[in-house]
Amino acid sequence: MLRAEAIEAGYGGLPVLKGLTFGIERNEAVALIGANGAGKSTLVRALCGLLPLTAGRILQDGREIQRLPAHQRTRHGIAVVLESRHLFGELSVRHNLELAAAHGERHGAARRKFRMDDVIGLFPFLGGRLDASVQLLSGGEQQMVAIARALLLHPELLILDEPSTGLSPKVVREIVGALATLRSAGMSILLVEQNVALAVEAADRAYVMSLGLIVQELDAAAWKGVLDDEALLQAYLGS
Amino acid sequence: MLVFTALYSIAGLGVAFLLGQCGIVSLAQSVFFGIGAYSSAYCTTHWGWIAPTGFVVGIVASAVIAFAVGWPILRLSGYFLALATLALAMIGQVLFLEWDWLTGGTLGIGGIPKLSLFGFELRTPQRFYYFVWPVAALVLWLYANLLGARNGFAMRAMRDAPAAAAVLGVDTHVLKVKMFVASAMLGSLGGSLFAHYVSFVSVDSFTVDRAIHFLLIAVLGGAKTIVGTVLGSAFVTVMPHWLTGFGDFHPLLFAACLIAAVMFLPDGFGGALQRALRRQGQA
Repeated sequence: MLRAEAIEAGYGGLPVLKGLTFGIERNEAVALIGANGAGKSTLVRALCGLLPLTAGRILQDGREIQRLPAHQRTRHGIAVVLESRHLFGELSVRHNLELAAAHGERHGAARRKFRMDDVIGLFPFLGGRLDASVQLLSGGEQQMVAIARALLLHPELLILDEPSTGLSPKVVREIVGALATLRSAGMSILLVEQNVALAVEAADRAYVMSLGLIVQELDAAAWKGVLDDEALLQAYLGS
Repeated sequence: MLVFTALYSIAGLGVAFLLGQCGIVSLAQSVFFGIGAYSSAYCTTHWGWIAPTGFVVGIVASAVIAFAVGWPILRLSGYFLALATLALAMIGQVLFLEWDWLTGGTLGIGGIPKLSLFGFELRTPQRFYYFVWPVAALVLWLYANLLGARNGFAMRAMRDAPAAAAVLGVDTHVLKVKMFVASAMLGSLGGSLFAHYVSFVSVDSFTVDRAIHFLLIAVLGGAKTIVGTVLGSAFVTVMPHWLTGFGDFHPLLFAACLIAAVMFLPDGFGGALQRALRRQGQA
């Protein structure tokens, strides 16, 4: 459903993505792993329209979308949870969610609709904290608000950038559980992670990224055994 | 003084909501204040039209110019955007001076008729006071409603996390342009009221100093609060007048007051008031 072909992008003339190609099919969960500085977050920003490409193209169901600005890509079913969550600090949980829901209303009539009740079902704590300021939530709760907010845009593809960063193992488990629920509901997921153990649980296959390029594609079998592949982990993740 | 406080609150509100809700520093408000004032002056004195037409011409002209200028410059951000709006204020000042066929140049336009409501002429400051404060209150009320509406949330989202706002579907550029246009319309409304109150307008009232004056209202008042705009406007209107009692030192004293206010009340009078009320509520 989404394919990046030889894409190049960077900051201030310095290339970060150097002709990267990868793809994700409908109803699959794909992980993108790599060490710090591999260009993972730059790739996420390029995919969601926050960073213009200097070369290459991005295709969604065969249609070029690389020239669409970020707010229009959302309308085409791509929702992203940015690294560091980027919640709207002065607004309550409810207003963070309602802002997304209001924009989601206008999107893809044919797509599966997420309502407020659906996201509360996925993250039950939200039900009791709707009127709390997001600034008062823990990091894990904020991450759940960020995911819930993205779901209210009714995406077909959910991109998550380092969702486990700074979270306790218990919260990470909750997020993995929520992603599994979304997967079973047919949503495509692109999970950008350094935490390989989490990524293995949540994704069907993976790409390994290093220095702005995809250096390895791991099919389902190779991916499930990746935690035993010391050479790969050492080479590309430094762990 | 209270009439001017209300007039400047209306125009200053435009700058305050751009700064406080959208994170945009605008120094262009003097231009729109001038357009409103000259539109009212020209329509009523040259063409003999009734006063409301001057308001409408000013507001429409300001909206069109704000849209035409805002669309390209609002792609900029931070200092670059502030400088672009400053350039607009400087260009406006030059044009107000050079286009003397329209503005009267340094001689200005005099004889602007007083406003009248249902045949009741607002010819005294007291009468104008009772007219302009309800107008200011109405504008502030509309603004309070905007903050609680979707566009209000979108503005704060854009200010706090522009990237996240964009990926949520907020067209941040269009939203900025809309708010810049709304701000210009408020500036024009303030300018038209000003023209009818003082009955004489000249380029001296629409210089870059005036633009800074409006920015001071927003910064000193506290751009994130509604009441802050009124307090900021009262400060920049009343304080210089009050300090004239200190003779030649008054500009120096006013500057010292400004520095003290910015240092000790970083979120403005409105922010300090809000904090004090919150403390009182907790006690």
